[in-house]
Amino acid sequence: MPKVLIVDDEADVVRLLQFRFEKEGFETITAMDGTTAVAMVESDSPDLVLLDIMMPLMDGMEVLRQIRSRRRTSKTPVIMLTAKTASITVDEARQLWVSDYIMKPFDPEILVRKAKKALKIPTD
Amino acid sequence: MRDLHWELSTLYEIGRMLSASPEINDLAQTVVEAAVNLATADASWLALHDKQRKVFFYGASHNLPADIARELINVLEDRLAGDSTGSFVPIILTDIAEHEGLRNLAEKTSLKAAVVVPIVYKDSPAGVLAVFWNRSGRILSERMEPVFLLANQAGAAIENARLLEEARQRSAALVAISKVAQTIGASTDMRWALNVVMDEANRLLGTDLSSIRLIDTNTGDLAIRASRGFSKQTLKRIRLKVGQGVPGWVAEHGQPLIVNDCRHEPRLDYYPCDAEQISSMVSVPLLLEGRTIGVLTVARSEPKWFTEEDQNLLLILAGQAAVAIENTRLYDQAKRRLSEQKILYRLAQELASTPDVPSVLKFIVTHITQSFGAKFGSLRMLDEAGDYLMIGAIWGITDEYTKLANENVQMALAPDTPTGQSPAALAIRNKRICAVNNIFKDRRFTAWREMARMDGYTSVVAVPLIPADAPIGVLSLYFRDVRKLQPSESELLQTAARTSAIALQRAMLDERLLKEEVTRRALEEISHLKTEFVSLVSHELRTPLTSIQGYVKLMVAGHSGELNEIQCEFLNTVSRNTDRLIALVNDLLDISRIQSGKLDLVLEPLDLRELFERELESLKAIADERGITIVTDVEPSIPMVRADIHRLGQIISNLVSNALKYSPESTTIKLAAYPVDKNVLIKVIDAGMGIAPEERGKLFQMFYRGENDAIKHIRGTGLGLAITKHLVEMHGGKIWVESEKGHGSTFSFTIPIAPPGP
Repeated sequence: MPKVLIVDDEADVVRLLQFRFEKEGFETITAMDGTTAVAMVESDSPDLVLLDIMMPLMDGMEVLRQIRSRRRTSKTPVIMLTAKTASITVDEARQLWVSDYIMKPFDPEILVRKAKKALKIPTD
Repeated sequence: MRDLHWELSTLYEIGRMLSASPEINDLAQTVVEAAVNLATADASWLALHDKQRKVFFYGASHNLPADIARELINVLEDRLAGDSTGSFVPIILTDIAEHEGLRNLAEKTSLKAAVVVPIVYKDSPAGVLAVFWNRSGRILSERMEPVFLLANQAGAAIENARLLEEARQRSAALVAISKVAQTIGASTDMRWALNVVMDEANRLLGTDLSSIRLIDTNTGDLAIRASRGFSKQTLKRIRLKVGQGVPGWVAEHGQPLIVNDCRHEPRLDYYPCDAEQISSMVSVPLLLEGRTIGVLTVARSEPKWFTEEDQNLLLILAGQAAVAIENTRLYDQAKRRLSEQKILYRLAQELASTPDVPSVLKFIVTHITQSFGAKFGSLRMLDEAGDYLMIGAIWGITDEYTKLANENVQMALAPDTPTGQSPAALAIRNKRICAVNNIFKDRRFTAWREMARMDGYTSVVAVPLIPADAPIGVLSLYFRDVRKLQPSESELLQTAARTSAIALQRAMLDERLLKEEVTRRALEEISHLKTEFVSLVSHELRTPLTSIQGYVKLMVAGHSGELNEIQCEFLNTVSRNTDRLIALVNDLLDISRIQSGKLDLVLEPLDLRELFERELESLKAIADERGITIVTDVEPSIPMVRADIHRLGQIISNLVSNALKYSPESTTIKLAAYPVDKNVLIKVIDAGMGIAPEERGKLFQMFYRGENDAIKHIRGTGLGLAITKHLVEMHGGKIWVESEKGHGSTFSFTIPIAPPGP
């Protein structure tokens, strides 16, 4: 059972994703700020991280950098949730091993498909 | 014995008398008086000899009427001259009435006999002594001998007195010249310097009349610039030109001229006979660097001749006068230059530090009007079209003008308008200074006389303000009285106007730049606010929309439980409208970014096949819903393109979404890409209703929506294709559409191939 860490400062979005991914049979853990997210990636070793970019204090890009700087989590799949175009370049994404990204607002079904693809789980 | 004693005592007496009279005039008087005493005579007369001119002149007389005494020189002249050539023999006249020339003397006096004795010194004549007795007939030798003795002694005495006189004159001349030179060197007042020259000339030459005339090179007039001894009436009557009269002759020839007998001088015909009496005169040219600039003339009423020495002395004084004139001219010039420099310097200095246009205008008109001593001045500015003049600033102006200025009255410039014929309008049109010396006499400005009378001006000068080649305004100076600008003044005014024009233009430019800067800053601020706003909206609108869309989709997908048909329909409506809202927000944000130039691309090499796959994944749901198949036609060897991943994705997504919207169900949409030269050509081909030719051109315009009834129901913002076109062009590509009504459409665009990477 894959474990997914949902990181977003918006509770409604966290709840939405939690609901949808649990429905899909994922185990979910959540964080609502960057610092907690970094700590949870370290302590809980999720199989996938859904990471919002626009967050106060520590933004998603910084969280990603910290995750990548730790050897154990350097290859953990991460899907970025972004509300702004051009907030992440392909080059950055490549360097930081971003599995995929999705623009807010998004269709949860598409995100699920992307998540499965990142985890190499076949879709129907 | 008696004779010897007498002779010795007489000689002693003569020596004593002569040595007591060092002055030649006193000496002459002493001699004539001594002659009467010693010779027991009744009258005596003495002429002196002028060594330079070799003529005799009257010296003194005793017991003779003055007129007769003076006439005698003419009577005796011929004989004296003849005798002076060699043999000086005394003439003894026993009855003077027998001699024609002396008959008048005999008739008017009781004189009968005479002895005329030459006075000789070292074999040259020094004078003539004549002694007269009332008795006719033989003259006793004892009466004649003292005369001879006296004549012998007088020769040396006269020579001594003459030498002394000469020495004294020379020294006086030197003192005078040095005094004049000093005076003139220190003086900048020409009239005063010329008066000093004339006073010294009069004093040295014993004259009482003098004048200095200067040549006016324009008119040829010889105007009197200074004079002594002449009455005002005379001065008015003796106007001369070069070539007229004695001074005119001197001015014309540049040579000095002595006239010792004015009665017979034809060049004095102009001189009124009832004016001051002149019997002899000298005129010398005022020479400056070999050029005659005027004439110095001295004259006297008493019949005394002028010598060459007098003339030479006068020439020296004339030279001094010329220097004085030149000095004052140079000084005036320097003074004028200095004052011109001051005016221009002040203008330039003040204008350089004057910040705003109104202050510059005010300063220009105030400073220049005051500098030229005008009654009032106005500065009118040309409007942008160049049709009107408007008051920019005024100084010392009348109520009427102030009113005009306050009302900001426009003054038409066109030549067929009344104001178009004003001096200011002429100055602007001709781009030249327009000087009206007397507006009441100038036929060009008859229409302005009433205004001039009201405002109290006679002269007006209008000078255009031309910073480069086009006038920007005109400065008018109004003078109460007739004012004819000298060429140097006119030049100064024009220089001042040019300086002002440049400063004014600079101030105007500064002001405009300042305004532009303020506008630019405001725009920058707005742009900044807009970016902030866009950023805020993009986050704050998307966040709630994410939740709305997400939850609705969950429910529609049945994740929250089974929905009945109505619930499903309603939620689909919410979902569709949410999608519309999201699309609208996205499009508006893009348009806003495009318009503010804030849409930045991050260009990097991209794999089109990956990109297509990603974008189509998002569209798959809609396509599936409508039974539309999307196929891609991309060779695996397709080169990487250089693009912004999000924006290129957006372009593809927009075009495919459009194709989906306008395609009938169960058709196929083809997404193809081929390399063409340095670009990749990407095509989105649909089998839709197609686009009419007249609509194709408007397709990419903002807010354009198809006018076809068949598509009116299809929703859209009308921004998608405009944004798409802009994004393609930002990448350096082109976009176009090919279509045939009813046979589908093909949207094609190019994206540059990425240069080979490292």
